[in-house]
Amino acid sequence: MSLVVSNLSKKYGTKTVVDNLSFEMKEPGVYALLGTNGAGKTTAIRMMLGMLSRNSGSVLWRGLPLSTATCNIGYLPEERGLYPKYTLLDQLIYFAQLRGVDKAEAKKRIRYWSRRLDVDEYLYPTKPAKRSFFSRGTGASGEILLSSKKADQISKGNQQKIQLITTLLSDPELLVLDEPMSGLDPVNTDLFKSIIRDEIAKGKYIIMSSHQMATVEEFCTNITILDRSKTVLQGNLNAIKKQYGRVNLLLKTECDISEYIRESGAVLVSEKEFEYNIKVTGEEQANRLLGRLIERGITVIRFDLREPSLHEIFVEVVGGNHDAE
Amino acid sequence: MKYSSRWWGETMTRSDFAGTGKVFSFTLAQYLKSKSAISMMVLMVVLASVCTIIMVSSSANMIPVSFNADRAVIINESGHDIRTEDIAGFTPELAGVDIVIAEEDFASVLRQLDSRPGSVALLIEKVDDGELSVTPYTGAGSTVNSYTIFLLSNAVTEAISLARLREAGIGDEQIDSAFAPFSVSSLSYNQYMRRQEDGLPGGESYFWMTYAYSIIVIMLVIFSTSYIVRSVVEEKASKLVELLMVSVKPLALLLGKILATMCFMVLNMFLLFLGVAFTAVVINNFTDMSFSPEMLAAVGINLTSGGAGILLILVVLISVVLGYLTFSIIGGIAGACCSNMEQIGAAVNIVSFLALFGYLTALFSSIFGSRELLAVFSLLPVVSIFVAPVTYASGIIGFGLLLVSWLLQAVVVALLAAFGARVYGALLIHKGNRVGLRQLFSIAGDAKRGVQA
Repeated sequence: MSLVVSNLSKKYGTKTVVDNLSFEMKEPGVYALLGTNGAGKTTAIRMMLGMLSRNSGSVLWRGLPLSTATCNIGYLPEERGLYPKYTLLDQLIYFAQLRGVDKAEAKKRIRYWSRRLDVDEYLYPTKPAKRSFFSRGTGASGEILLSSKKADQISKGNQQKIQLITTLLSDPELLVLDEPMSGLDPVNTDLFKSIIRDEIAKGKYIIMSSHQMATVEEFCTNITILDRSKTVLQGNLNAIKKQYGRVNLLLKTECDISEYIRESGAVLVSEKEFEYNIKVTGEEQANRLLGRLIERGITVIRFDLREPSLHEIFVEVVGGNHDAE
Repeated sequence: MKYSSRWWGETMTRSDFAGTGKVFSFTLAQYLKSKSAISMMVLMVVLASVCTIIMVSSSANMIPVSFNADRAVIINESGHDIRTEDIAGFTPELAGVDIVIAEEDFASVLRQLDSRPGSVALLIEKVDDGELSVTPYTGAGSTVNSYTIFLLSNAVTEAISLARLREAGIGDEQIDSAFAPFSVSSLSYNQYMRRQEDGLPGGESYFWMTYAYSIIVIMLVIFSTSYIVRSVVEEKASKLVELLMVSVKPLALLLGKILATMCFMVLNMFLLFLGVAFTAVVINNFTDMSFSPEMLAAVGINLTSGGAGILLILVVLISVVLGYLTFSIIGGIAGACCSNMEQIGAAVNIVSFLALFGYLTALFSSIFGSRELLAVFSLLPVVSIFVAPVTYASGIIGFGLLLVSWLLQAVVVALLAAFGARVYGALLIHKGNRVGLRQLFSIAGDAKRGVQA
């Protein structure tokens, strides 16, 4: 067992902000920590990483208490920033050195990641060299390396890339990514995703907290959903989905079939130009509806019966609790 | 390895300090790369040089410079029997000077002066109605200063008076008796009473010593803590702390900053003194003004006291470092209580208020305090930072009591560090309104009840 979180609790006065959180990561991969705003995800992460004291519980990494001494951790916090007035290169070397990477190695890694994330123009800006008397007529041209840019001289998206570099510089075995893709444009989101995929392929353990369910679903194998400090759903994502069964039916026809849907007892969620999103109780109900349509000679262009998405599970689990109030 | 601090129900471990060196070197490097910091340093050196020039030029008439002639030639045309030993005995400064009564004529003595830059000729001649006149002369390339000439002229005048008395039949013993030295000093009634009652070593000089020392400490404290507070709040406002706290413990983060700021301030002060020293050398070598150790002695700094001086410098250094650490940790915690740059003022005010309290207590006690009260203040944390080195230097407390004072200050520093270790992390993560004192202790209480990671 690599990471074992047991009975983690945090109270502020009488208010419980994390209540007996427990989960395990047996193998490399992505573990998703999900929840509504204020559910206690960030507090749980802070406790796991030793930034906040906890009222009870333990976090073990390969049998030892989790800390930078027992595990090489890379953390991308939700609230992230850079020193606005210091040069980016100085900051990155500093962060790497704090994680025990020596200066020469840090410079190599920064060079690699800056190219990978396409920010080398800010870390190693250049300007064309003026042609000297001796180079005139030789066709030779050169560039002068300028001082690295400061954080307040680059865009927010590029700052986010630099922040990801700080997380990856120590080549961590455990990555904790709190809302890693919030605020990124689609191009940079894909860039971040490709890096996460590479880290998974390298056998890294990743804990990811996000509100972007589609992104989480793309990577994670196991999840914990928190709601108001409590764990409301936990387990392997595929197993959870199987529990819910194939209840989402997408039907596309060439005419109106609302009447047949009602007749079958299924629930029509939405409809647009004879494309129907239907909630069924299971495969049997869906097949019965399909049989009825064929029997009536209605052409079925698309029949897609699938499990609920993580987004739907999340809304059902958390939304249900909120509706019950 | 575990260190002290069961006082707060918690222990600090070696890992609490891991990374301090890296935080220190990064922070110091950034201070030294900062254009505003470099401009400030240059400005300080320039200011120090300008102040030195102003001080020397304005005090040139008040503070005598050192005697610097090696030969005095007396051309005696007065008719009196002037003795060289009378001139040499006028003041100890003339003891090593070659004093001769010229046998040549006035013109040939003057000619020799050009080739002897350390020589002075003094012509004693009769003017109208038997009145005598003493006129000093120096050569073209003379290095002799005006103080030396003034002293030699007085010595010759005194020698003439003695010669006249002897000629009038008064013996040497009678002359010694009549001219036995005496001193005059003036004291206010309060100073007189304090000397009588408390035996304080000179009310006024004690006050000036306290004043000079305290002003250095308070300047260091206020400048440094404003740097520390700004640095802590900037880091917090930059949303960097969470990233940093994965790699270093909050105490190491604070300690690294405090030490870097101390080094930066010491460097500033060193440059300041370098500016003063450089200007003094320039003044001594290239101008007709002079800079002398007596000027520093006038403000309580004695460069000629040898071993005692080094011990005193050590005492001052240790006291300043302890005081600096006390106020810096308070500044760091106060800074961490803020969430944005607008709240910095309040955090700086807390430290400034505490420092001013210590400073003013030290100053008032130097005027109105009794010996016993000063000894108590030497032991009282915060106030002792300003009082203890001065009371030790002036003999009010002994070395033993000074050690007790340092020990108490060290305990306060350790307590503050332990408290900082407990609350600093939570404060760095805190957002919103500035954390007040009650909330601060509530955070400490929460941390005490919680399991430390």
